[in-house]
This record gives sequence, C-alpha cells and structure tokens, in this order.
Amino acid sequence: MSTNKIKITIVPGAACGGCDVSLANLGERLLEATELVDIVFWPTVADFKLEDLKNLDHIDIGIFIGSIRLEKHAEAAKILREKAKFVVAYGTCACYGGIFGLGNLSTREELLKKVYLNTPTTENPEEKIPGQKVVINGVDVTPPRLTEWNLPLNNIVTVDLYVQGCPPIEDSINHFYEVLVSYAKNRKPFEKGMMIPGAKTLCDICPRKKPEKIVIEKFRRVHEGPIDDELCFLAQGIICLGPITVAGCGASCIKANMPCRGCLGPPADIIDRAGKFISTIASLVEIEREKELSDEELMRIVQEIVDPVGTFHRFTFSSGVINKKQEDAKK
Amino acid sequence: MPKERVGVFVCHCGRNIAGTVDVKKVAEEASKHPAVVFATDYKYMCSDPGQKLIKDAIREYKLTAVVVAACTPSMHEETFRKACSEVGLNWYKCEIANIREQCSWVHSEIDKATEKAIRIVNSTIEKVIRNEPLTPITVGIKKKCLVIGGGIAGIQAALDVADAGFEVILVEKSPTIGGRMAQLSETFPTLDCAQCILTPKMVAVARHPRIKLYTLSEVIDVEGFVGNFRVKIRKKPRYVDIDKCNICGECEKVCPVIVPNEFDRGLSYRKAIYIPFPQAVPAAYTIDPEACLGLNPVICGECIEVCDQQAINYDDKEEIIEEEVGAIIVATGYNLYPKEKIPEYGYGKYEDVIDSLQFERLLSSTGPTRGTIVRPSDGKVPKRVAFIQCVGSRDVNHLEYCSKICCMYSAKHAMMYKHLVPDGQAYIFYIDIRAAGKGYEEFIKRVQEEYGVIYIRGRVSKIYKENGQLIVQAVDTLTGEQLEVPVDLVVLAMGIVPSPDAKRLAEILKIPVDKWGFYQEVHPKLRPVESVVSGIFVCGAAQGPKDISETVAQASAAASKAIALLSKDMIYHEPIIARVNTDLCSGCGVCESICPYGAIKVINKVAEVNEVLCEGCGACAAACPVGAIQLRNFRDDQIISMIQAVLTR
Repeated sequence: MSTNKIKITIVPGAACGGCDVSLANLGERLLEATELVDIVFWPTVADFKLEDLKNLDHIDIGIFIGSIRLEKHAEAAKILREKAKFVVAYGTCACYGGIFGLGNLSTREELLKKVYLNTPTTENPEEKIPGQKVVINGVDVTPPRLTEWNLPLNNIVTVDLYVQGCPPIEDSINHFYEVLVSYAKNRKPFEKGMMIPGAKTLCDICPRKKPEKIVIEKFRRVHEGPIDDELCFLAQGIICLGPITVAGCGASCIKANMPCRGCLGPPADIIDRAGKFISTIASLVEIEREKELSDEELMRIVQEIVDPVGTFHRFTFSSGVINKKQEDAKK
Repeated sequence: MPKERVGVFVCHCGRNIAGTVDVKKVAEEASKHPAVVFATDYKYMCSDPGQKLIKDAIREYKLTAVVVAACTPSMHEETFRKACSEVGLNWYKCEIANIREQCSWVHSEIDKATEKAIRIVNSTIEKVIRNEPLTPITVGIKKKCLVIGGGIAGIQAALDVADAGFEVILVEKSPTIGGRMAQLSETFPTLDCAQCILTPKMVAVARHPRIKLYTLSEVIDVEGFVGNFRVKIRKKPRYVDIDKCNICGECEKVCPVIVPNEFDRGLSYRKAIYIPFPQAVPAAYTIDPEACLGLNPVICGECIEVCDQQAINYDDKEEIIEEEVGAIIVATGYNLYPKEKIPEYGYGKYEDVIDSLQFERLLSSTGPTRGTIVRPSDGKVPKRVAFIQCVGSRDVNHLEYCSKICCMYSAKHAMMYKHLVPDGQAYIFYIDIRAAGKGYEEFIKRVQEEYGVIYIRGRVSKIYKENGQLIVQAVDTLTGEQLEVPVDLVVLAMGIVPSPDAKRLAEILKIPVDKWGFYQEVHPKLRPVESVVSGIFVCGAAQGPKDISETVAQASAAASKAIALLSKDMIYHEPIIARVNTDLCSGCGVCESICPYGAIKVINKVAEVNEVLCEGCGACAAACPVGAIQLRNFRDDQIISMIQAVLTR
C-alpha cells in the first residue's frame, strides 16, 4: 500500500506555530489520512533538519508554513520547489508575508540593532547579533541570518495553491483536506493558483445592517465609546477590513462586535490591498460635505486614522506594491 | 485578444505641435509597435483632407483601431470618432493621444518633448487595442419640462418651452410668480418700468394652455434620469380657491391681523390674508397660516364672512403632486447677502440705513410710499443720500466675487432719486465702476455728468450717528482724503447670494454648486446652461449674479437646450459606464454610498448599475475595494498597460 501513498512535507518558515496547530483541527482524520498520505518532513512535530529535506528524492505536495524571514527559509523553499510537484502556501504568512511584514517598516540592520542592542533591558557588551559567525567549543553554531526583507513565499518560488487564514479555519482546512485526498486517490492535479477559501469578501456574509449611505465623518477606534452591534462598522467610522477580506472565517470577529482586521487576506487579483482600501475609505469621508470642506479639513479627518500601515496592511504589507521601507523616499 | 490593426495619425497642428515635437519621429516610432500597421503625420488632421487620410487608411489597411495624436480630446475627439464611424469603425475604437495641451504647449526642448509624445502615443495604443466596441444606450423621453422658480428666468424659460409645443410644470415657492423683478421700479439702462414689462409675461404664463403653474410649492424629490425624471412636488395650502377668488379685496379690509409686508421688504404692512401685489399671478389672495389667528372660524372668521365668492377654505390641505418630466430647468434666483453680517454699516441699528431692494420699493409707484422718496425714520424727504456699492461683494471677509449688477442699479437709484428729489444730493461710494454692457457706460456718464451725482472712489469704513445725524465715514482713494459725509439716508448695495433653498435643491437634483452655492455649469464658456446631470439646465441669478437682460438670454438658452432634448424621440446615452463583476462583488455598499448620480443600488448583496443614470464618472470604480466595478474602456487592466507603456521604452 505504502507505494501508493503520496508524500507530503510541512516546511516551516517564519511562523508562530498556529498554522501547524490548525492542522490538528483535522482530528481523527489525520489518522485516516495516514492511509493515503506519508508525512515525510514536519519539523514542528518530529526532529527534522534541512538535510533531511534535501535527501528526499521526491515530494508530491509540499506545504510551506510562514513567511520568508531567514536565509534558511528561502533555501528550504527553493529545495521544496525543486522536489515537490505542488507547492502550497499554507496560512496568511506564507500567502502574504503575514504580520511579520510590518517588520519591513525597518531595515534588517535597524531591527537587529533595536532588538539585540538598544532595548532598555538588553545587556550585550560584546555586541553580538545574529549573522555573525559563532563558534563554541570548536563547533560552528552560527545562528541563521535574517533575509534583507520579510517576503511571502511566492516572492521566492512559484506557488500552486494558497490556503488563506491566520491560521486557516476549519472550513478551509476541510476543503484543503478534500483537495489532498482527491489528489491522493486519483492523482488528479488541481487548478494552479487555486485559493482556499477564495470566496467573496466578508460583506457578503456580514449580518450587519448597512445605511443607505455609508458616510465617514470621523474615524473612531473600538475603545472610543459604544459600538452599535447591528450597524456596519464603516458607517460608524470604525475601520473594518471586511470589504477587502475574503469570507473564510464565518465573520467570527464581526459577530463578536469587533471589526475585521483582515487576517485572511484579500480576494484573488487584488494588486495592492492597502492602496485599494485606502481609496475606498477616502471615498467615504464626508461624502455629503466633501465639496464644502477645504483640503486641510479633509486631511484633518483622514489624519485621525491611527497607524495606517498597520491598519490597512496588518497582514499583507510584504505583498503590497510598496512593501518595504523606502530609503530614497525618506530622504 | 484578437489581433488588432492600429493606425496612428500624428497631427502637426500647424506649428502648435510640430514646432516642439518631431512629428515624423513620433509616427516612425509608433509604427514599431507590434499592433500598428500604419502610421503617418499630417499638417492638420482635423481638416477635410486630414480626415480623409484617416478614412482612406481605415479602408486600405483594414484598421481595427485608430489613434489620433493631436490636441485635447475635448476639442476633436468627436470629429475623429465621427470620421472613423463613417467608414465603419466603432466610435469607441478611436482614441486621441493629447500631444498638444499635455506636451507641445507645455514644453520647449524638442528632444524631450518628442520622447514624451512617443510615450503618450504608445500608451494610447495600449488603451485603444483593449477598448471594447460599444454602442450607445437608447431611452425614450417624457415630453414635459419642469421649471423650478417663477422669477423672470423661470417665466421666460417656461414660456419658451411651452411655445415650442411642450408641456411645462412651473413650480414657485411663493404665492405669486414674478420673483425679484416684480419688486423693482425701473430697469437700467432704458428705465423701462419693471412691472410694465414683466406683468404681460406673467399673464402669458397664467393663460398658457401648456403651462401648469404650482405656486406655494416646492420640489421635494427627484428620481430618474435624463428624459425620465420622476418629480415630487409639495403644494402648500393657500386656503383660498384661486378659481373662485375675484380679488375684490373685501377679506383684506376685515382681516384684523397686521404683519410686515415681505414684498415691500418690511417697509409696509399687510394683513394675514393678502395678495403680494395687485398684478400677482395667480390673481388670488393667500392666507399666511402663521399670521392668521388660527384658520378657525370660532376664533376669527371675518374673511370667510365677507367673501361673496366663498373662495376661502380653512380646511385646505397640503398636497404631494407627482409629475414625470423629460427635462428640468432650475431658476431659483438670488437673495441679498445678510446685512447683519456687516454690522459696521449699522443696518438694524439705524432705521435710515436700508438695502437696495428696499430703495427699489421706495422708488416704485406701487410701493409703500407710492413712489415718493421718504426716509423710514421720520417720513421726511432725504436731501442727502449715500449709495454704497460692494457691500459684502469683492471682500475677502465676505463674498470674494463681484455681484455684477450693483454698479448699474446704484447709478439708476441715484438718477431716479434726482428725478424725484431734484434739489437732493446723491453720493455713490464705489471701488471700481463696472459698466460693461450695451448702453451701460453711457448711462453711468449721464448720471455723473447730467445729474451731478458725486462718485467717491473708496470703501466706506463705518456708518454712525452723531447728534442724530447719520455720517458715512470713508476714504477717497483718489485724493487720499478722509471723508465724513453727513447724510439723511444710506442705501446699501448688498452682494448677491443664491436663494436659501438652492443648496437643498442641489442635493435633491444631485447637481453641484460652486464655492458660494451658485449652480455649477459644465463649462463656463462652452456649456453655460447645462448642469453635470444631463437633462438638468440652470439659468438666471441662481447660476451666478447677472442682470435681467442676461438672465432672459440665459433662460432662453436653457429653454432651447431643453427643447432640443424634448424634441428627440429617443436619447442616446454614453455607454462608457460602470459595470459590475457579480462574481467579485460582495455588496459592501461603498459604491452606492458615493455614487453622485444615484445610479448604483445593492440588491441581494450585489451592486447593480442603472445604465442610463450612470454618467461614467468612475468614482465607484476607484472606491470598489475588490475591483468588482470597472468603468468600460477605462478598466484597471487598460490603465495598468497604459502606465507600463508610459514608463517603459
């Protein structure tokens, strides 16, 4: 039987571990899956090294979890691509760079300096930072080097299937499982570039009421005063990323009276999520009085938005058109 | 994409383009584009031989798309598209690359300008090969016109449209038509009596078989689109049957309530049951429900008792009238800038400081004084009168613009004053005299020379009272002298502002207003009476300050535009409109919120575009978070290709 099983690897990049855990949502089906699938590499679960990945002769489906933040991640991704028939970006970090993408607001050197030298609680008199060669007792234990920028998987290799979510939720995992099983049984290749859930956006399933006109007169954050739990967040001046986030979560935050932060990422074919959504939000500001207000007055309203990059690009900055600190622009 | 065969035609525009851009090189470079099968240049593409060149090339090279590199598309897009369509090319497969306004006119270095022109042309080629051939959308027309506002502009427009054979609905918010002009005495520069030239037109409106007049009415809602507007009108109760009332005036005699008369701008009094002026149209009394003791015969029924015609009905109710019209003309007129905003001139504090319309009423033979000039405080004839121009106008703290008519009517005021008080002295305080108009300058000269009116160039700083004497404090900027002129009466030529309802109406009609609230025309020179909403026209002082002759001309212009529209059996609507990809749309409602034309509705979680209402502005396409809305022939993929073409070479 074992010869008919498909070989799967689960390769971690920069990840929090949530995506690995989410696979456990399959529950008993993980055991069923072992009938069809051989998981030949999963460092989160058992001790594997990059060498083990290199030594595999072939992989059917290579799942990559997390973003590319270490040179080692990039190397692993390239090996995976070389060996695997299909590469899957599993989770928002692999798909879009994830929350680590916000690290691109600083250069690699700035990040390392901040973390290893400049925080008040750091004591590092030898100024050792990762990247430098370290030999202890004659053994080279040099820590891995950071890549210059945080990247989504598809910046390094071609990706065949995307599973969105931070982490992907049960419905998406079930869907992904079906894809795996169907491939394992029939060896039927799936549509390249497929996205799971790849649905419409959250507004499609949002239970909230929309006024005839959504007008933003003032931006508010969730802690500023009561929130109407039945009215569209945008109509209350609260930025909700629902209109540009795929509906793969069952609107769980929205149902808990919290606006969408956009963890699943945008629907397919969005070139620049934040750019697009900033255009949307700007269109809604003071629609009725836009002509009466001066540019300065309008600007003042827009400037109320706290942390625009972190708001509009919380999970997707690495995959934006502007996706890193622009040194030239700053000068 | 099927293989396109593009022709590129580079215009010299005499030396306008060829002087700065190497047109031969532009054509040569364009011909290197894989989709281009023919490229040439010519001295004047818009000329007959130029157009023939394009047509011949379309036939000879079987072109599927054409790029004309020439002037702005607002100049000749239609010319070239027409030429193309004459030989069978779709109207929308011809695009203009603007290498004049956006290139040759604004640059001087030939090399760089040529390079830019090449890129503009390449970018336009990328667009045109992705353009879909489109056909205009056709719709029928309701052959009826709504005119809002019954002043001279509305009257003229209504008469013109009705005379052309179309039904007209004329809506006026006050009890009578006539507007501001009915309040005036004589008109400059001919000194025609305003009422004498206006009332025949008012009567013509009343008698016209095709004009339906709603007074005491206002438009409260407008839906629909050009050719097919659905209008809701709120008609307030008049409490007097206009068909029964024979204006005998008995009711007025017995009415016990006295209130200031707004028609005379508070210089006289009227009863609660009143007629604004004897020639009012409709010729009928009105009860002012706020002044009347209660519209209740138990409290007071004096008027009902004396009315032989039984025309008075206290139970009259408000009505909502619905009409369907094809065109709308907006003529809501003007108001004076509130005098309270300029406290240094003492209006309200000193009885003998009045505004120009009050002075018109004093001059009028039907006015509160039957045309004798007396001052409000003590009824004496004022021997020294100061007329102050630009009160609020041309003032950065108030209205930045010129109210245009004040120079002329102040001169007229001074002249009429001298007619009535020959031994009186008139002073006119002015900043500049603007007398551009037929016979206007001559009129001013006469006032200055024949009537001995003293013109003082300088702004008045203050009007105050000293020992019971009004004093105008000013500086004569020609002599540099400080002046303190004692006068008996001051007339303030208040600036002109749109009528207070204009803004509300603009919102209902979804037409833009300018910074000051005047209705915005599409183009100040070329489309002066059209609003951005097709089928809605503007005229008169609601569009900007203007005198009667200009108002009448503009009203007729608006009417002729409306007539041209109503004369068509079908109208064609530009097919460059928004289109929704229903697979992507999640119904977030952003587009519906921002559409200035009310053309998008979210139905069952998917946006739907009303093809006729959509004006193709693209606001929704920009706002749609997921790119589900695309503007036809201005799709994202086209624009990205255009940008790439501009950036790479």
